[in-house]
Amino acid sequence: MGLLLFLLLVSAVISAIFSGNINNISNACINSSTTATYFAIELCGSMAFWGGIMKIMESSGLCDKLTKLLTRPLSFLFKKDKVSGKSLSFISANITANLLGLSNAATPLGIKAVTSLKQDNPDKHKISKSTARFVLMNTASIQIIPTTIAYIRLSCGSTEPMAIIIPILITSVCSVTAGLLAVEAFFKE
Amino acid sequence: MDFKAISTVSALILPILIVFIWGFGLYKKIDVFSEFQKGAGENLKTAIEILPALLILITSINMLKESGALEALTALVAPLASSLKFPPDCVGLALIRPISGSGAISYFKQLLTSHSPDSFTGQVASVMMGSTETTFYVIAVYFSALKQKCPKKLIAASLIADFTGFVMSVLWVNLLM
Repeated sequence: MGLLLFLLLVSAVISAIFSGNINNISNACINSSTTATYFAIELCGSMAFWGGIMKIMESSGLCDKLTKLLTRPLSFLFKKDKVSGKSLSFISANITANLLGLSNAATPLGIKAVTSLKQDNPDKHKISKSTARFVLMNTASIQIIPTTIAYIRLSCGSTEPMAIIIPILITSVCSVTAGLLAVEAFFKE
Repeated sequence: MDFKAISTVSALILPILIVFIWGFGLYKKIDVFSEFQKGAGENLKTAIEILPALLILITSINMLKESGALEALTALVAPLASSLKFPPDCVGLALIRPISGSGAISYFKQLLTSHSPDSFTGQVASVMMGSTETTFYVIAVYFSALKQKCPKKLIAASLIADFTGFVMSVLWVNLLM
């Protein structure tokens, strides 16, 4: 991680010198800590809020119902003997939020899911294949209705803002599948 | 498809969901208010613990974005892209998309003002935006929470997914629109 960040920083500095964007990266240095803190504060709000809602879902039994509903479609990715029931309920909630496009809810639920998946994994130094599959499903998009994109299209004068919905769905399925296949190929169980 | 109806329905999902979950808790006779506070308190701690890692991750991502490295890379990749029938203006979007969410949105808006949203380039850009995520942000947040290093092979798999999304955007816009 240290080396990776070093390479990122070095390539940023070198290309800034060549393209004359020295002031820009100097500003980025100064402002980014504020940006990161704002982001963390935002995350505090949404994490705490959705943690509270999730707790209600847990104690009222709603989580179990949702998990039961999604267990079968998810079982080929998250095997019961590798993943605890607790992880599975966070995964189900995160995926539901992602499908509905509720990214504010999806991130905190995803954080709960990965930390819970870490506890399921006997090897504490590496991430499990289940974790890899889960993170991939979050770095790829699985949102059903791309409202933000449609809204931007509308505001830029599109006559058919929703026309892209079918190609987006098919493309999303292709990219998630490709990513999951790559995880299958790269990770050992 | 009726944009107004769909956007109204999707704007209603969140509020209805919260009312439903709260109401279901009351119906099951649990102390919803104190359960909410318990869960919120637990998560607040996690969110604060993520900040130190995010500071350096976001700083280096932003420095890279501002350095002009992406523009240089765009110019480098452009000839290859046009031979693959990939709209040249979408190359920059493909490069910024995995790195910065707000950067991608502003690039996308600019692209839709210089090309029409209903043009080929506009449609490909829309499908690219809708079918991919800000990969590096997601990885930064999750692995800051895990306090673990993200394996290179997972970054590779995520980028394979993104790349497939970009190529498929061109293909499906060609086939379906």
